[in-house]
Amino acid sequence: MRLRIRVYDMAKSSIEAGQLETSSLMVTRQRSLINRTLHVGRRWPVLPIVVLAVVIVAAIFAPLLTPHDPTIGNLRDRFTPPMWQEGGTSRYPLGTDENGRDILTRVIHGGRITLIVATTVLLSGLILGTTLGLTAGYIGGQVDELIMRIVDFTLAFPFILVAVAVVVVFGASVPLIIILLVIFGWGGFARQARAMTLSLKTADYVAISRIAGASTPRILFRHILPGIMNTMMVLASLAVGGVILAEATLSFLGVGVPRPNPAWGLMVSSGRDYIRDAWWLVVMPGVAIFAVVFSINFLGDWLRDRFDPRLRQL
Amino acid sequence: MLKYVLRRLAYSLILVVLASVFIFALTRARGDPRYMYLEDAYITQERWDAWGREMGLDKPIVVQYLIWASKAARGNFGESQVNRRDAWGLVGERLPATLQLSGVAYVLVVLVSVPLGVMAAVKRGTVVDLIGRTFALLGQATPTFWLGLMMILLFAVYLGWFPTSGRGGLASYVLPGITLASGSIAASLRLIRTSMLEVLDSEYIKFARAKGVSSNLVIWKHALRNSLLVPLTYFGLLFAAFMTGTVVVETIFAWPGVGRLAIEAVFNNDFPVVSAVVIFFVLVYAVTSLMVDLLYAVADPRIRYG
Amino acid sequence: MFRMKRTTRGLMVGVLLFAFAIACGGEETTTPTAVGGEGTATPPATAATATPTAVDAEATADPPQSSGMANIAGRTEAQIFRVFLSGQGHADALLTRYGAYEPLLRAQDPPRPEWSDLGEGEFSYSPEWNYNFTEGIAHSWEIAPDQSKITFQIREGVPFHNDWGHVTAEDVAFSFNDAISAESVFTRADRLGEWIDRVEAVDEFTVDMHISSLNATWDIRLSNVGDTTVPIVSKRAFDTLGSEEFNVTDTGTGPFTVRTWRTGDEIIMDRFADYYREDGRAQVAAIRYVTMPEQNVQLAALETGEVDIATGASTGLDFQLVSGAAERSGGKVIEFGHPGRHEITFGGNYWAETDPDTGDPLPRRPGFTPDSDHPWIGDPWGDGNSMESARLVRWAMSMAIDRELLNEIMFESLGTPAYTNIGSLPGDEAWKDEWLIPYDPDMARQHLAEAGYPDGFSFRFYAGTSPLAEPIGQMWSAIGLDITIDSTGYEALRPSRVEKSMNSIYTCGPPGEERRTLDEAKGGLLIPRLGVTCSVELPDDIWPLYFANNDELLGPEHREERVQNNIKLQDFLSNWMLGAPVVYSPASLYIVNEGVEWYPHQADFAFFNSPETIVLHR
Repeated sequence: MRLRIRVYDMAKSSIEAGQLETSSLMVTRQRSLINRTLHVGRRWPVLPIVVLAVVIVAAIFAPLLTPHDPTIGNLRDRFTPPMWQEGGTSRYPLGTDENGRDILTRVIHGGRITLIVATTVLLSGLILGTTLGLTAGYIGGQVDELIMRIVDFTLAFPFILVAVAVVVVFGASVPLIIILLVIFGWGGFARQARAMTLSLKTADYVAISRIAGASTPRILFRHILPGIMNTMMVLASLAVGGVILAEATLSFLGVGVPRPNPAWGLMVSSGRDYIRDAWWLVVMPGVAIFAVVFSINFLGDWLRDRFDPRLRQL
Repeated sequence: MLKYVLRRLAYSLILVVLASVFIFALTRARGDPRYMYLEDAYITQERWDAWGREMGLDKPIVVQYLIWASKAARGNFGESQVNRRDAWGLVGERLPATLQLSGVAYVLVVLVSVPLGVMAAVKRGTVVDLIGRTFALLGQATPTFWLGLMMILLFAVYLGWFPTSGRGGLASYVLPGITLASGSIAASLRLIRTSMLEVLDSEYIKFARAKGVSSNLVIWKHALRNSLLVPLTYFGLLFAAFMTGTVVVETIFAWPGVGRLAIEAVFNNDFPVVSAVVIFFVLVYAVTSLMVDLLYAVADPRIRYG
Repeated sequence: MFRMKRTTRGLMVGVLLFAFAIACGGEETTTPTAVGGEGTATPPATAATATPTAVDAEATADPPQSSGMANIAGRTEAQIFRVFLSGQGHADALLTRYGAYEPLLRAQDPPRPEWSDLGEGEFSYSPEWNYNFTEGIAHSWEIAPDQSKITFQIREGVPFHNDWGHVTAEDVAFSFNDAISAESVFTRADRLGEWIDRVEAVDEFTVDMHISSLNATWDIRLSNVGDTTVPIVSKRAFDTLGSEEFNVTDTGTGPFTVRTWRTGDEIIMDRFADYYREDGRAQVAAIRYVTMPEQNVQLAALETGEVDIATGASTGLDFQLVSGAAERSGGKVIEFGHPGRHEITFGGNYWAETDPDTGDPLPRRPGFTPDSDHPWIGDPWGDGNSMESARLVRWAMSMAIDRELLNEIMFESLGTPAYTNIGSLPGDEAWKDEWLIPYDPDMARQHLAEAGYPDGFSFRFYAGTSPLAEPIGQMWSAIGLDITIDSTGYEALRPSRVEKSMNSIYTCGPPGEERRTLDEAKGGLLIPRLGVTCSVELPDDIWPLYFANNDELLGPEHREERVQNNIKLQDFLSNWMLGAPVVYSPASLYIVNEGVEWYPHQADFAFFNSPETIVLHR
C-alpha cells in the first residue's frame, strides 16, 4: 500500500513536473491534513497549543490581566514566597522578586518582550536567509560567492563576544538585540537553504521545468522552495528556542534587554544570586522560557510530520 | 577540485582580513584605548602624551590599522593592557582548558545524540522515540546558564558528587561538559532523527530491506552513513560553536579558558587580547568550515563545483 | 554508497581529534606559566584541588605554624607583578594585599577585635584602624623641617623572595621611581607624583624621598592600608631579568611567595619561611586564590567547603544573601573598610570655566547638553530658566528616593541614610538642617511639573553593579519617570568620563573622599581636570575650595578653615543637588567559612589583605 502511493508520487513528479502546480499539491496536502486531524483528533498536541495560546493571549492583554506594575514593586514585600508556600499570599500568586515586584505580573509582561524579539528575529532571519540561500545555490557563480562570503562573515564571528562588544559601545536596548540576532542568525538558514538547493537543482523535475522555460524566480519559489521548506521548518523550530535562549544568555552576561524590563532571561539572570534563599526568582521565569521553547519545538515537530509528504505515511 | 580548494582557501583569507578590519573598527569605536589605563581622577598631560606615543596613537587611524595588521599577521597582537603579557600567548595559555572542555562536550554530543537519534528514528512512535524526543526537547528548551546553576546546586552542593567549579581532576569536567553539550546534544539528536527518517524512507533502503538484508545492518551501516550527511555541517561547525560557546559555561564554572579571557577582555576594552581572541575564533571557524565544505564535496557527488 | 563511508569516517576522525586534544591538554598544563623565580616547579593542574603533601611536609618542618592550604575565591585576581605596568583595576592593591609584596610602611597588627554576634548566625568583625607604621621595610623616618624631603631608615636584612638578596635603599628608590615615572601606567602614579618628586638612595639603608607637598595622610598612602601603596621590589632582579621577565617574576618580600600563577585561574602561594616579621609569618602553609566570576558559585563553593573565604561579596551583593550564605556554611561575615556612600550623579553639569592646572579658559565639554533630553543639566550661560528647572528636576529625583527604606531593607539597617556629599551626618559638628533631603514623592511630582515635565521624561540610568539600581529605579518610576537601567560596567563608562562626554545620570564614586573626617579636601572628582571625574564640574567660585584644602590649608592649625570650606562646598552642592547622596552601606563583606580564622586590617577600599593571619582549624 505504502509503496504504491510512493511510486505514484514519484511518477507524478517526474512525468508532470514541468506543469505541476505546487499550490494544488499544497491544497491536497492540507485537505488530507484536515481529514487526518478529524480522524485522529486525539493526536493533536493539545498541551503545547494551549501553552502557546495562553502565553500569546496573556502577552497581548497583559495590562488588563495583571493587578501589579511590572516595574514597580514594594521593597517591604521582597522575597515573598509563592502563595502555596508558608509566608506566601494570594496577592502575589508566584511570589515576589528581590525588588518586591510581583513575579506573575513580570512573567506575563515578559512574554511580550520574548514573543516580540523571537518573532521579529525569526521571521526576518528566515526570510532573509532562505531567499539569499536559494538565490546563491541556484544562480551560483559570482552571486553565490558574494552571498556565501557574507554568510561566512556573519557565521565566523563569535556571536556572543561580538554582541557584547557592540552592546558595550552602543548601550543595551531591545532593537539592538533584535538587529544583532538577525545579523548573526540568518546565515545558518542561508547555508542550509543553499546546500539543499545545490542538491535539488539537479533533480529531474527542476531540470524539466527549466527546459520547459520556467523563469528562475518561478523555479526557485514554486519548485525548489517547497522542497526545502520542511528542513527549513525544522531549522526554524530549532532556532526559535535558540533565539529566546540567546536573548536570555545576553541578559545573563548583562548586555541583553535592559533592566527594569521584565524579560525572562533577565529575570533568571538577576535572580540567580538568590537561588538558595528564594528559588522562585529563578524557577518561575525559567519555567516560562522552558514551557514556551518546549511547546514551540514540539509544535514544530508536529507540523513537520504532518506537512512532510514523505514522512507522513510512516 | 584543486582549483576549488585554492579558491576556498582564498575565501578564508578574505574572511580573516574582513574580520580584522571589523574588530579593529569596533574596538576603536569604544574610544581612545588610553582611557582604559586611567583609574585615578587625575592625570598629567605629559603622561597622557607619553602613553599615546608608546601606543602609536598619534598616527592616523588607517596607519594604526596597517601597523597593527602587519604585526598581527606575524602573530604579534601586542601586549595585554591588563597584565602586559603577550596577547597571542595568553590565548595559547588558555587554549588547552577550552579545548579539553569542548572535546569532552563534543564526545558527549556524539556518544549521546547519534545512538539516541538513530533509535528514535528506527523505533518511531515507540517509547524509545518518545524518550529520545523528550530528551531533545528538554535539552533544547533549557537555558545553558540555568542548567549550569541548577546542576551546581544539585550535584555539587546537595549531593556533593562533583566540585562546584574550577578545572582540576576528571570530576571537574563533568558538570561543565554536560552543560556545554546539553543544547547541542538536543539539536543534533533532532537533526539525526529527521535525517535518518528521510533516509529510512528512501527507496534503496526499502529495497535493501525487501532484499532481506538484516535490519541492523541496514540501519547502522547503510542508513546511518547516508543520514549523517545533513548533520555533517552541524557537527563540523559544532567545534567552532563550542569554542565560542564556552563564554557562558566558563564564566559559570570558573573555567580558565579562552571564552572567559575573551569576555573579560571585551569588558575591559583590552584591545590586544580582544583582537587576538576574535581573530583566533574566526580562524577556527574558517578552518573548520573549510574542512566541512571539502568533506561535503567528497561526500555528496551531487554538488557541482564549477 | 562507497563515498558515504568517508562521511562517517570524517566524523570519527573528528571525535578522535578531540579525544586527542583532551589527552594533549593534560600535558599542556605543565607548560610553565607565570612562575616566580628560577627553580620553582609548576605542579600539574590536578594539584589544584588536592592538598599538596609536599607543602604540608614543609610546614611541619617549622612547628609553630599550622598547615594546610587556604582557598580564597575572588571575582578577579591580581594580574601583574611590575607596578609600573599595572594600569588596570586595583592591581597595585591586589599585589600587596595578596601577601607577595610589602610596601615601605606597614601598619602594626591591630588588637584582634571580638566577634559581635548580630543574631541569626551572623557575625560582625570590625578591626580598628592602626596608624603605627613602624613595622615595615622602613622602620623610622624623619621629615625635613622645610618639608622638602622625608628620610627613611630601611630595616636591615629584609630578604626578597627567590634569593634576590636583601632590601637596600637602591631597591626602595627603584620601586618608587619606576612606579611614578612618566611612562608608568600605574593606577596611582599621578596621585603619588602629585607630592613625590623622586626617591634617592643616600647610603645602603637610607633613602631620601623628595616631596613637593605633604598631605596629612601621606603615611597611610605609603602603607599596606593605603590606596597608593608601592610595593618594594628588587632592582637587581629588574636589571637581571629585563622588564618582560621581571613582570612575571615574584621579587617581593611579603609573607607568601608565588608558586604558580595561571592568569584568570589561580595563584598558589607558599609561606615564605624567611619573612622578616617573625611574628607575622604566615599561619597556613599555602594559600590559593581562585577566580570565580559568579557570586552564587562562590557561595556554593563556600558551602561545599571548596573555598575558605569568599570575597565576591565585597561588591554589589545583597546583604540578605550574605547572611544566608554565612548561615548555611556555618561561617561568619567579616565586615571591614570604610562604609561606602552610594551616590547618584547628575552628569553633564559642566559649569567650570577655568582650567585649574593651566589657568586657561576651558572649552565647552562635549557632555554639556542642556536640552529637553537632559532635563537635569542646567545651563549657567543660557537663559535664566534652565538652571532653576534643572535644579527642580534634580531635587525631584533626589526627593523621590526613600533613603530610610533602602537602608532598612537593602542593608538590614546596618547602614546610614546619606544627605551630604562631604560625609556630614545629622548631629555632626558640621551639620545643617537644610541639608536634609526629605522623602516626598508628591513634592517630587510637583517639582517635575514646575520644571515643565509633568509627565516625566525618559532616561538611561547607568548603575553598573549597584545593588540599589532597581530599588532606586522603581522609586523614580513611581513619580512618573521612564527609566532604563544600563548595567554596563565602570570600564565601559570610563572613556566618556575621561572625555567629559558623559551626560547621564549614574552612580559615580563619591565626589568627596570616602573617609568621613570633615576637615579633608572634598569634591576632588568634581574638579575640572584631565582624568576620570564624575561628569560634573563645579563653577569657578567653588572648586578652588578643594585646592585650598588640599594644598594650602594643611596642618592641624588650619583644621577649622578646612571644615568651613567643606561646609561652603556642601551648601552649594545641597542647593544645586548635583549629586544625590543616598545611603552609606556597611563596609565590604567577606564570608569566612566554618573553622577558618582571619584577621584583616582596616584598609582603604576594603581590599582583601593580611592572608598571613589566616588559620585553618580542620
